[in-house]
This record gives sequence, structure tokens and C-alpha cells, in this order.
Amino acid sequence: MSTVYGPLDVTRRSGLLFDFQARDLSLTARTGQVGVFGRNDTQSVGVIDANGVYGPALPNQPRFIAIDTDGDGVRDAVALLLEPATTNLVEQNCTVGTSPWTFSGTTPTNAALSLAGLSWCLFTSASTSAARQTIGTFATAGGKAYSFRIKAAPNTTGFVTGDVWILPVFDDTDAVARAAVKATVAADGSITFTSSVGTIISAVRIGGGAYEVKGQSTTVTAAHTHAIYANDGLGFGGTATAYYATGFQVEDRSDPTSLIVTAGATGSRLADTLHFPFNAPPQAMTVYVKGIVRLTDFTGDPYFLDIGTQGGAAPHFFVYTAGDVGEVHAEIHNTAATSSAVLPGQGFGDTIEAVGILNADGSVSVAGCKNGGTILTGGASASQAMPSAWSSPILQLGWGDGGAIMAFAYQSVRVAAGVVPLNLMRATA
Amino acid sequence: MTLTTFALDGTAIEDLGLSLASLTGLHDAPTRSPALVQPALTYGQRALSIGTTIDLRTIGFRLNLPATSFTNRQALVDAFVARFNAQVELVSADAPTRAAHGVLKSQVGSTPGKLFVNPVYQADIAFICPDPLWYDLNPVVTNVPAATTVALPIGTGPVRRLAITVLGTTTNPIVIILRDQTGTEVQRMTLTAPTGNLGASNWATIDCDRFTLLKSDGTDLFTAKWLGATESWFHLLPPLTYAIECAQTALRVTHFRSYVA
Repeated sequence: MSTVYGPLDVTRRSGLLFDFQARDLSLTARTGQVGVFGRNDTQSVGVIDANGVYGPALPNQPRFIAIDTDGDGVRDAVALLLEPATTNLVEQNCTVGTSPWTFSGTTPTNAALSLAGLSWCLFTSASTSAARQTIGTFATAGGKAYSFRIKAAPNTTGFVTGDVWILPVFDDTDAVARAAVKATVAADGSITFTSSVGTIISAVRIGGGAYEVKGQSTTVTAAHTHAIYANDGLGFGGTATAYYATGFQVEDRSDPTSLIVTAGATGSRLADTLHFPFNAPPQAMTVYVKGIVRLTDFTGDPYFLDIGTQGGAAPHFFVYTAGDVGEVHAEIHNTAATSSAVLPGQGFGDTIEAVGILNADGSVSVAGCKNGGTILTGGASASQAMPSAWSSPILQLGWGDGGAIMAFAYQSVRVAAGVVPLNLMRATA
Repeated sequence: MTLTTFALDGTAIEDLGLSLASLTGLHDAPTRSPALVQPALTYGQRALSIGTTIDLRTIGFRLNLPATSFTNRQALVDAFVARFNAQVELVSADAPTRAAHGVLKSQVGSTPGKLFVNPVYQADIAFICPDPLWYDLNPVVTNVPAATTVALPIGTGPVRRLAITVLGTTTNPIVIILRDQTGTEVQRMTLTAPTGNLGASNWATIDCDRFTLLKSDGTDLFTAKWLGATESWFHLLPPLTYAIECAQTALRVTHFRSYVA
């Protein structure tokens, strides 16, 4: 009698210097290097699963999340999420029927629904009632990122239809909305979103027929007090007489990150950090990174990957993104700093494949591809001497020596010896 | 990249400069050879239900190499043969989210055109997959809130690499219950700390494939006798469907579904 089924092995390939696949759910690369991960805080809703349900992430526990990479509504891919430190400025963001939230209409009911791993509040305000949360004075005048979660409320015939206006960033001092989202609820409970002020950058399904909306406000004024309104009665109105909402988040940065649940104070998350040992010496090589972009603002040139340093010291070879339009760059610092760039035009939610090539003559070239489309390639930079050794034997993900941290959901990171075109570096994910 | 035919380790064969002429073995249910027994005083043989020998899966395909010259032909051959040195992940456009894992069994080439006149080349390639099942490329990640029963989707074959992460709690013991589609308990794992408890900032990972029970700090909790003496690792096998629950704390369950054909 033989065994019924043999072992399921992960794929082993020869010729690769490094091969990390998030779908292995391990920080051990297929080529054997063991990653060192850090984020010394607890995130009560740090991981979203295949059902769109939020679950906790404990201190120093990497966040392997399920994501929908092709927009078909199925979260069938797994990625390792690395994000910068941030703070949710909204207190009691899942329990809004609690001080410091105040209301001129009906106070929402806390814990009216438990769904998708979150506690939901039932809003029954008509358009003349304001649900208001003062979230305090912003430290800078930059763009403000927001997010919230919303779900249609059932009634005896299906769902309560109509418009819900959420004003996630409202300048109380000037009495002007800096972000305003109209959620239109259909009879089947589906919701469509339009932005009246600011920009919606993502509106996706989560568990139980709910939605997660992320966006950016217009520029806010420093030293003003800001608030959140729902079905406000301040010119936007709203016709839906009942709906569920939760997970309000406003961050003092350009792009929204994953949800932080708060209580009687603002809530913060530390940065995710991850690096691997990398003992292969400098040589002609190709690095490949695939994942989901969680940024629209690439100020500070956050890195996808950096080989050879943990602090920006030369010699090192890195692939990064830059500019408001998300160019992909490959760059080496040795006797000189030379780079190559392409412009796939990446944005929030795009699947990006970025390739950096270190050529045998010390020059670099680059390739990029967005959402499986056309592969763009950049010409080789000026040549220089190939380094004899890296600054340190390390491969770092998700950081930038200018202080910017990449917000990126990594699916695949590969390094191959030699010069390999992007389409031959691809990993199924 | 949209996969249109077949991929080797995530690279579409078209990207290797090749095209597919034929393909076999994708949807074959592996041959089973059950052990048979002739019971006394009855007609006919019966299959013993405790195990079945299952054949390997063999996937065969013919590749066309549209070579433009003889040196180009050699370059194309080099490009795909270089992929065959180790175990290869095979993915078809029929199910681009599933993979079989095979090693090269044979590669036989032929030149349908006039030798050294027409450089076109064909290669008949066979892979054998010691494990005949197709598996999810990406695991299913499921959050299980405390005291909540959550379904675990499965395919047409047994679930593999089932791992249950028990998220930090100071409750002791921790009882994880597996139920079938009728709600009947089919298995349970009781984790009891001999002293103390798991702790709110720690987690424990139960790997039902490797038969390990490890705390986040590396402590071997199986050796420390946390698992109930009469209990064993969960095993999910169709045609049952399953749901999991834990009254004491939240879980995160990851698993790969498998498919027979």
C-alpha cells in the first residue's frame, strides 16, 4: 500500500539568487534566506482575509493579506503588506455613538451589527441631522487621506435605498467640505460612490456586502478644526434614512493605509520593516518585484527593494518609484550614481511588476509593467566599475533612504544572476 | 499578463518564443488501484477502504519552436530546457489559479521540415507529477473571530498545508473545534498550557501538514505537551465540507485546496 497522496512541495528553481513568494505565507525565501520582520504593535484589524473579513495582527506578526488583483471581486491572491507608520486621527472610529462624537439628530447605535470582523454603527439620521466628529487640528496643510466602511441597512422589502453623504474631512473653521462622498444605495444593497469634493481612490467590497472607501481630501488648512459629517444637512443632504457605517479614518498623509481601530484616543501603527540576508556579491543581476501599489504620492522616492544597505550607504543597488506619476527607477551607487527610469503610470491598487537590471559594465537598466499590460523598458545608464562588495550583505524591502516608506503589498521578489527580461522573471501569483 | 495557454514557473510559454501544439493529461483523474479483498461466503470482491494506490499525473505537450535560423533554434531550445532543471510549477489557462508540480520525464525533439534546411523544430515533452493533484496557487486565508463558526472552502481533493494560527490570549485551555456540514463535531484540538498561558502578544501556529505546534517565540508547544493526548491534527477531505470555531480566541486559518482533475 502506497501513500495516498505525495507531498506538496514549493517550487524550487535553480539560478535564482533570491526568491520570496508571499503565497508561501512564510518569511523564509524559497532560496533559504530568512527574513527579519518588525512592527512592534498590535493591530486589532490588521489582516483582511479571503472573505473580506478583518482580523488582528499581533506585534511583529507579518500581515499576509488576501487581495483582489483583477477586480473580479474575489480576493484570491495573497500579498505581504508593508506600510509606513501612521496615525488615525479619528477617536472611537467604530463606536461613533460615543463621546467625543456629538449629534444634532439621532445618535447612532453602537455595535448594531457585527460584520466583516468589525463592529458597525446604525445611523438613522435624516438629512437634517448631523453626525459630527471633531477630529482636531491638523499639523500640516498637506492632503489628508480618509477611509470609511459602509453597508446598506435592510428593511422589510430589501434595503433602505437613497443617498448617503459622508463628509470625511470637513473644515469647521471655514465651514467647507474638503472631502465629500455620495453613496447611492440600490434596492439590492449594492452601493455606488461618487466624489463631490476630493478624490475617491478605492471603493471595494469587503465581507457581508459592505464596502471600504478610501480617498483623499483637497488641501486642508493647518490650525483649523476639522470634523466628519454624515447626512449632514450642510448643503449635501442625504435621503437614506438608515445605513450602517464604521471604521472612519483620517490620516495626516496623502494616501490612506489599512484600518486602525481606535477608542478614546487617536490610534497609531508603527512601520513594517523587513530585510533578508543577501550574500551574493555584486554581479550582473536582475531584480524583480511584483505587488499591489498602495500609494499615489511617491514623494521621497520610496523603495521597492534595496540590495546592499540598510542605511543608504554605497555601494548599493535599488529599485524605487518616484514622482507624482509613479516612475519606476533602477539605480546603483558606487563610484557614481546612475539610474534608468520608465513610466508605467502606477497608481493606488495597480499591480506593478518592476525590474531593475545591473549590467556587467556597472550600468543599470529598468523595466516596468502595470496590470499585465505592455512591458516598458528603459535604456542603460552610464557604466561604472562594478562594486567588489555591497555596503552590507542585506536585501531590504519597503523603505527609502529619504525617509519615505513604501506602502506596497508584495507578492513576489526575485533576484536572478545575469540579465533576464521581465517576462521571463515573472512569477505566477 | 493574461495566461492564454500554459505557463512554466509563472512564465507563459509564448514568452519563451514557443507555441503549444497539443496538451494531454490536464484533466485526467489519476488512476486508482484499490486493494481488493474476497470476503468469505460472498460473491464478488470488495475494495478495502483504508487506502488506495494512486498513479502519478503525466502531463504531455508538444511545443512548436518557430525558429528563424539554426542558431535561433538552439537558443530557443536552451531557453526552455533551462527551466527543466528542477521541479516546475505547471499552470494552465483552464485554471490559472491552480498549479501542478512536476519534473521533466522526457523531451523528444523532431524536425518536421527538411533537416538543416527548415529550422522549425517540435519538442514532445512529458512531465510527471509525483503528487497528481492540482493545488491553489495562493492559499485561502480565513479570519475566525472568537466564538464564531466560519466555513472553510475546499476543492475536490484533500486540503493541504492547513495551518491554524491561534492569536494571543490569556485563556487556558484553548479549544478548536472542526465541524462538518451538518454541524456535527468531527475533530477537536485542545491546547492546554502546563503552566501559564499563551499570552496576549503571542501566537501559536498549528501546522497540520508538518505536524508541528510552535509558539511565536519558537517554543515547541507539541513537545511541551500542549496538545491533548488523544487528539490529532485536523484533516479536511471531501465530500464533507467544514467549518471551524474557537470560543476562547480568534484564529487565522490558511490552507491550500486541491483538485483531482
